[in-house]
Amino acid sequence: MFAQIAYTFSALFNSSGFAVVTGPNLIMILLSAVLIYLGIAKGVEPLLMLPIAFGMLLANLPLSGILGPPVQEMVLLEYIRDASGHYLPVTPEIIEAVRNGGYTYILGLGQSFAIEGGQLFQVITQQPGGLLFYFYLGVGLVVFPPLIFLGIGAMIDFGPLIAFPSSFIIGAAAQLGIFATFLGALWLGFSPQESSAIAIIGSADGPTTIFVTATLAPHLLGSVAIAAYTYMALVPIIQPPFMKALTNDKERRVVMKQLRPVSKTERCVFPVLSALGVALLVPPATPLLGMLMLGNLIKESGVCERLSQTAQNEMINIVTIFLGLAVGSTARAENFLTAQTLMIIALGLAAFILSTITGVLIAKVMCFATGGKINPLIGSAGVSAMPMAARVCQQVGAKYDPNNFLLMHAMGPTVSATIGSAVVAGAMIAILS
Amino acid sequence: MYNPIGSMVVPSMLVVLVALAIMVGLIYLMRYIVAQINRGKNGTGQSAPAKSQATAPATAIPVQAQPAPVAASASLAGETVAAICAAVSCVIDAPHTVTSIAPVAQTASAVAAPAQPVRQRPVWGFAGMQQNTRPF
Repeated sequence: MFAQIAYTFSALFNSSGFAVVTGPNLIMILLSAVLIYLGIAKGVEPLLMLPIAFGMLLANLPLSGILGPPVQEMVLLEYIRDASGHYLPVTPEIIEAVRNGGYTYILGLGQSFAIEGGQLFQVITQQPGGLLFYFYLGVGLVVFPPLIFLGIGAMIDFGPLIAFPSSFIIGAAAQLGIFATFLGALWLGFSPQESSAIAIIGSADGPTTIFVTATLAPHLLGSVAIAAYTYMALVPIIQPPFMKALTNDKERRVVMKQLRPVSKTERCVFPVLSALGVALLVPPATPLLGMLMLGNLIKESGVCERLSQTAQNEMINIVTIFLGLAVGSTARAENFLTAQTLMIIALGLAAFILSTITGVLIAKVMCFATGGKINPLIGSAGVSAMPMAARVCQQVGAKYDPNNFLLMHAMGPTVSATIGSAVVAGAMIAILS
Repeated sequence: MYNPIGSMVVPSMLVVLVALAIMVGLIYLMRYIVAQINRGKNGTGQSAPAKSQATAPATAIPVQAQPAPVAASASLAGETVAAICAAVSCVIDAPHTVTSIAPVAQTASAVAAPAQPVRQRPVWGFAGMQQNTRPF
């Protein structure tokens, strides 16, 4: 009997995660604990960091099956039953009908079929996939990032951008850092698709980063997303030294003209025209831009208050949880603990810094061209880290002139960078996919 | 041989520049359309000052100190206090500030004296009172 008890306990232990956990698993679990600490104690983008870190934790627990695809069996069919109950022999015509999608009329709904080697198989799901496998479908099928953009659009204010159209120049110039990083990543040996996924970190836009990475280099999703959200949280630390290094005291004290008021008509027409214009120019950017503009239109119209509140609150919160868990689940030991991850982190930081530098430099040019009417500090807000980048501009400017209110002027470049990064993402996907 | 600058960087930058031009053009087009709509609604005369307001450089608007609230008796309604202040302002030409309004206590002689019949204000006097308190 004691032997039986010992045998049972041994079998239980061998079937538990303790028996198969490896060193890399433990390192990833420890890393996820560090990210959880950073999110809670240090406030590093906690809304995304906690789901991502916990998804990472769950994904690196051995034998959990939480990530596993569904277990399916394929059964060769020689006869099939149609919707009226008659059995028909499987002929090449029926196989062709299944291939063309007309099978529901012949074979009835709710059945899955596969065609291999000219033969028809019925796919039977013996075991459903893990929870995070289905969550990841929202990322892999690129559904979650546009939904996040819907919520962001409902929270965004295009007024400063409409009142100050020159912001687009700053927002576009800041994207130059992305291209410089793209070249650097290529030089380090990454493929063009991987280089695009890494370079888009410079946009400081989480949904856009995930959108591009999930489309072009899904195996890098975990590293890229963690790097992107970490740097977004570090904007107040990363940007000010470069802002001060690239501007002089006189430039930092420039007081900009008050922005004109923007009418409700303009606020309603702008999202519609923008979605039309950009979607026609860069069709792959349509999911992101379209949702962004829809969310904004819902808010600005004033007649869909419930939808606006839902998009800004419940919907974006729910999608954030699913997105974070799904993204975190891709950070598994075998593809995260590599030298490649360190290079991604370094390149992501370079992309971020280069975007800041190019934004400030173009703002300096605009300051010179306008005779000192534009404060170059707002160039650093050309990254899409909303609203942190604009807030940093305000804080740095206020140090030199407490009566200088740059916040709304800086919101223009920030908002234009959101659109600009979506355009860059669409261009990258159009060229490389 | 794959040339990243020619096949990726330059085309993407051109796309961004074209998108930039489209967006800026849309904003100016939108501004023009809205201005035309407003001009059609309000008429040419009223649109011109609005346009000059939009284009004139913003000047510092001197912040005027808010006048101190008038200390008034609790028995007086706010509208009454406002009407009295307006009437006083109309009568007194010199710069002044109304600081308090209070009902005058009746003297013993006034209390002892029989109530006088209410005199009807003459029509011209009534018209003058109306004219001087017109905002209220």
